[in-house]
Amino acid sequence: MIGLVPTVWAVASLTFLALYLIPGDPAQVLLSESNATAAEIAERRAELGLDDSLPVQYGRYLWRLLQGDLGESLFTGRPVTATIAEQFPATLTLAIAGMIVTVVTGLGLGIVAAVRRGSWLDAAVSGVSAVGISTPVFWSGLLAIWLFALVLDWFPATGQGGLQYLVLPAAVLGFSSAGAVARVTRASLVEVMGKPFILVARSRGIGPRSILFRHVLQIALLPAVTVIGLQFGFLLGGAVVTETVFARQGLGRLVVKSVLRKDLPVVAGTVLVGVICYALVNLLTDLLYRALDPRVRSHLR
Amino acid sequence: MVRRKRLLLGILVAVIALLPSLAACQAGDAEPQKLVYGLTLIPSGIDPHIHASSELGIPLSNVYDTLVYLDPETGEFVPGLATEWSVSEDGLVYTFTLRKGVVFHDGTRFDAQAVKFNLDRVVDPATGSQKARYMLGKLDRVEVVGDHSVTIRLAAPYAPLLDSLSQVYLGMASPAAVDKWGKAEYQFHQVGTGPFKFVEYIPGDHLTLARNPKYKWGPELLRQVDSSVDEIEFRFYEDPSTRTIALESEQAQIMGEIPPQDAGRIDQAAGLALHPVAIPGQPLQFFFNLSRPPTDELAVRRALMYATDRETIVETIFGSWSPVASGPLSRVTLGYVSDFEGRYLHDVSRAQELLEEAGWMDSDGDRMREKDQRQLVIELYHMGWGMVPEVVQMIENDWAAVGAQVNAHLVSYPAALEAARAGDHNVIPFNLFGTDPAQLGSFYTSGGGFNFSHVQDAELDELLGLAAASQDLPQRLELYRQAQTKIMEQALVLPIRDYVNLNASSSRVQGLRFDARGWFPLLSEVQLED
Repeated sequence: MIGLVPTVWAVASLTFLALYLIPGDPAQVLLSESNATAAEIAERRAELGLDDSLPVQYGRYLWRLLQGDLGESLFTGRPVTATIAEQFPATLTLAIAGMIVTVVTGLGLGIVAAVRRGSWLDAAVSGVSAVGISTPVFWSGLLAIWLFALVLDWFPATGQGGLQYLVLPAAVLGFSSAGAVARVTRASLVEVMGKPFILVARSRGIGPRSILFRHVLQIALLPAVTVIGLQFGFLLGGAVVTETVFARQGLGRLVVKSVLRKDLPVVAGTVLVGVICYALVNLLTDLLYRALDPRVRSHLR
Repeated sequence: MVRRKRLLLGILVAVIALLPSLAACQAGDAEPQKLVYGLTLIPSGIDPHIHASSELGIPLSNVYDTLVYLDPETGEFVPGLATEWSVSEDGLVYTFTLRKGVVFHDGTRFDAQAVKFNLDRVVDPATGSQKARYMLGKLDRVEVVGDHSVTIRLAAPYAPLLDSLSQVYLGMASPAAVDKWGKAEYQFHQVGTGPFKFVEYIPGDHLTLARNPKYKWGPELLRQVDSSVDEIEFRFYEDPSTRTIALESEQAQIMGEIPPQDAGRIDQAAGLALHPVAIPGQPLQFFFNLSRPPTDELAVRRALMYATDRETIVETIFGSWSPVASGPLSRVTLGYVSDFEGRYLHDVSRAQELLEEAGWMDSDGDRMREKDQRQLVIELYHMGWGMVPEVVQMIENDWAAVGAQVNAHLVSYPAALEAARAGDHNVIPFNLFGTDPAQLGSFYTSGGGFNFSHVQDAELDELLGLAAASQDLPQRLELYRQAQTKIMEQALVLPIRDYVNLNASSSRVQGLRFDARGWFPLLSEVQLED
């Protein structure tokens, strides 16, 4: 976890620099729906400390972060921590639900394709994976709303509430990552099934089902676990778009909005939360890897 | 093996256990006499004293009463929380007699002390007001004269004061509630005296209001009926393509800002009704920058006005739903004059004549004009709002037809504002909404916050300054007429279309009306038929 410190510093600094460099004056944006005069806008900019030099602003920003103070939003005046705490559960719910869809469909399709390799099923799975990987979420989202909410009327189109609101966005989000997982699962299964020890097992008369579940999956799933861990980052990113299409609250919409009005404290806070999430998921992936693979375990000892 | 399984099982159980509890956090209750109202933008904050968006006023103008109201039918100010008022001869002292027996939603009494508390809060720099603070002119002080009498003293006359006081941004909040929750949290616990009580706000998700059964002091335009809805939930539909869908699938019963391409369908649909509302203020318009060549030349600005086929642009993009704009104010705004309706009509040969007279010729045969080795290139900045990109595209074609090349820059909102202030643009779209013509001062005076034309004209400064201070309405309107004439003669702005908010509702919704600002619904009378 100590290794996280330089990462957080780098990300925090990059975020600061990026927001500093994109053109625009938050004071001008703040007062852009008022009758404020040019002089009053300049006065507000000074009040916000935006007239200070880059090193001064950067130093103040880092010093605050060091004290664990994410600051207040320039626009809402509320503490960034409170804002994030409000939006985070929605994004986490969506990302986890999307993850479940990814894992179940990705692994399922991958296994089916590998077992029936060369058959029409295999071709169908690789077709579906390609569609999943290459379809942008904003499009598949609108398509899903049209089909399942408007034509079939199975689920609500937008918004949030109970589980029925979660199904469509989670499915759309999860499906976008499932293709990659299915591909890796299939490739890895095919590779393992060609290994000599499987031949040996088969020659000893062990049934195909038993071979698959007892010997092949255990080894073949390892690369899939890695990919699933990586896909989580992708899911967090995809959640941004999914939240917009399905009009759900969440960090994604928050960060887009905040970037668009140069609300540095909120953007920095959200990005840091994203980094920490991603690091935690990677840690979890490593632990899972260790649990699944005896070789890594003995090596680490 | 066993340990491994246990770990996996543990993770699975944790995930499954986590899911419903997270989902439950957001589960709303389903109640029968409830109406869902679709908002189109998530405001950055919703405290009307602090924040500026029009969107916040849609729910909150039904939570707060104002001292006076602007009657949308007559354009007259009518009593609200103040039953009577008088203005001193010099326009510096406003005295209000307050209504008795008015009670905030938290049970505390409304009185003169509350008025002082609210206005003091708005102008306090620590409040960080983004709009309200700039609606009071040069406020000197607020004095409590008696329990139900209050005086507002100005340092300089400010004619739009009553108009300001009739807006939700200067609505009267419960001092007890403001003190209790503090600056940042009060917006989640707002307490007014209006026909609806604030229940809860979950940012980005929903805002709920409940009917205030004690409401008896409202003006005629906010009267309540027994059968009006008990609860209104506001939800957010930021993506325009989801708005009509939400109405059609009955997820929402009222929705604002329907895209024009969906409006016709809704107008024809059996279960839906369209409510177009004209918005007072400025039209969709493009400012010409006087400080950057080639738009520093009057001939070029005029030529570009003549080159623009506004009729076709409006008809193609906005359909029959909005009128073509002709001047700096939209038709439904106080101070609008029809003087410019026949001016700058589409006339390609007139545009070409003007450019040639000014020395802009196409000497190398590339269909683009040049003068003194300079190409006729127009830098156009815009932020991709609403249908602006489509409008920009048509303008590009229109201007190319007279030999002017447009460089369009689609940039973020802060970047566009920054470019406009720095003067990097030749042309930029921007506008504000509002019922009082004093808004022109922000755009066309040399010290205005939105002087995106970079105009420095002593005569305009004087006209607009006098108009904002004048207590004599006919004189005021005459000053605004002169200012607008100057603005159009100098071709500072290219007006395109008057804003019309295309609201839509389920036809079960009855009694939906809108206030004088056009954006804000008067919800006290709204009923939901079975």
